[in-house]
Amino acid sequence: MNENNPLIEQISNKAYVVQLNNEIYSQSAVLSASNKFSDFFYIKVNIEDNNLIITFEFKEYNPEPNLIQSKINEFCNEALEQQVREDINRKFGNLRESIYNKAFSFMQD
Amino acid sequence: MQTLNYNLLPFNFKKRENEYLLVNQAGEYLTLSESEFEKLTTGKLNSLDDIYKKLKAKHFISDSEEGTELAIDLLSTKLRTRKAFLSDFTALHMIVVTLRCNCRCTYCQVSSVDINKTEYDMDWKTAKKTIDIIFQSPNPVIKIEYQGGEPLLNWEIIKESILYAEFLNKFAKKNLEFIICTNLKEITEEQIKFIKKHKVILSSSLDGLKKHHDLHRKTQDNKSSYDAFLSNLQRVRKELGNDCCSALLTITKDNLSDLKEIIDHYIELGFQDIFLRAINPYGNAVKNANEINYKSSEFIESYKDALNYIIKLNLKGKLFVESYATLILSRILTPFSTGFVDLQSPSGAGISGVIYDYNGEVYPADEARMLARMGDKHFCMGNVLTNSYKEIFNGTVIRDIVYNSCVETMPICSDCIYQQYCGADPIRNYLETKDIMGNRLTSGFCYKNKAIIEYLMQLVLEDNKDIMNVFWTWITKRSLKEVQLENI
Repeated sequence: MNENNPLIEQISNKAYVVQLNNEIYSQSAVLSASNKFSDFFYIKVNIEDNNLIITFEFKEYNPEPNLIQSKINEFCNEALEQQVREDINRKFGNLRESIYNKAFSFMQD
Repeated sequence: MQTLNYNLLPFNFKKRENEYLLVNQAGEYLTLSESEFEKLTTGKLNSLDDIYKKLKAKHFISDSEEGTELAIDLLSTKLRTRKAFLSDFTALHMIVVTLRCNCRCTYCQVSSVDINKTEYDMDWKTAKKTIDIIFQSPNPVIKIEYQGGEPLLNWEIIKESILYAEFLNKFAKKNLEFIICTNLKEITEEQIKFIKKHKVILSSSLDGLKKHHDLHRKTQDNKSSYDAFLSNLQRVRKELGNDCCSALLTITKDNLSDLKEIIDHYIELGFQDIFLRAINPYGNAVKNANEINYKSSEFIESYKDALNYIIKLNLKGKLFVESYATLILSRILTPFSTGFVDLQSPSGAGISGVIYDYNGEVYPADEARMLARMGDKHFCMGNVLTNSYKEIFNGTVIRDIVYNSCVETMPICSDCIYQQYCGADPIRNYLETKDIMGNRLTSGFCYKNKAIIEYLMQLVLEDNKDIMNVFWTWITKRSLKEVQLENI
């Protein structure tokens, strides 16, 4: 996996490190995505230079390598999804707040 | 030739063959040729062009500071009108008076229980408390819909709660309506008399001809559910009038390819509309998926064929409505608010409709209750026996749903050209992805709605006068003659 993608590195038979540029991905997006994979992995998130470093250790004793690869790829997509949600919220969050407040306006009466 | 500077106002766009479709936040649409679109986006449109005037009139562009402010004000007003359903909060209150049922439908979404298990009946204490909670809704309209199981099996609770609601309404003075969703299998004379006296509307189910209906709507006594439905439909219509009972079609793979035949049968039986909807993935519909389910693409093809057939019937003079298309067309062709619990932004779950289970638990939608029956109570908003109105309707469950079901801020939806005509289904999203915002790329809900909206938009853009007249009869509930006269 690491030969094809320098941002994903295998560090043992069941541990991998993923690097994501923190100018593209926020900490909160990466943490939200990480949280969704905590049933499969023990996960640690750190920052080095301009990168968020996410260490994944598979919980199963003898994991199937293809399964790990597939889960790490899913994690990358999930981080992207969470980042897009944050970006959209920055653009249209005011509209959402207005709609949300309108929906519950009578509760303030 | 004069070239002016202008501001682009917010809109989404999509390339369709040789043209671009533009839709703004108020749901107004316009098509531009490729060259017009290029001119628009590069600031080269000429103020004398017709398309410039159309773009300005529909608030896609403005050409002065004052004009921009005015256009934004008008767009805001139009958006407020579209979202008017938010003003009044919950109108539809569904009460599950029992889980018992005299049928064993293959696709039953709530996995109903045996007819003698009366422990699954709502008791009077819970029913009374439910009605008390319902009357705290600020909405001037209160629709109470009795569901099951087969709700008529717990008749005493229906009767007493209707009488109690009518009593409370002497003081509350709301626009109060009652609906009973029943398979009509064992409706009694006493029940029909009460229903007539209290102006209750009946909503039933019809899956097509006898061969379709009896296939999945199996009864506990092994008698034909179709025969019982038909004879009792005649009985209630005789007493209550022809419009007293609507019918809901469940589409399985066994009747998907027979929709034209089913439409003819609905007309033959005197129904004036049909709601062509795909089956939901809950309860027995999941257990028996191989037996009843179909691909989303198969549903869409059948839907289009059936819709075209209904349009043809209307063009021949038979007024018959497809309800889902009518909802979408109302959103495309009118500026008005069309709140519809299942396709709304934010979702109508909880804020437009809510369901009270037999044991007093409150859920934002029938599907959430179905999910609870499958063992997941994620969406339980509280219990009428232990929680106050504010605790139930101002809690984190309902607030979470509203916050995360505004299509304006959901990935893919936020850029979607059909955003203003569509809505979100957070419960379905949760079921499929464990995330109430979900993922549009893998969502069958998104695929189906997008395909239907796209097809209807195509028909609208083709602008066939006769077909548009049919659509307006559906939207305005007027005859073809009245619509044609207006368009002369």
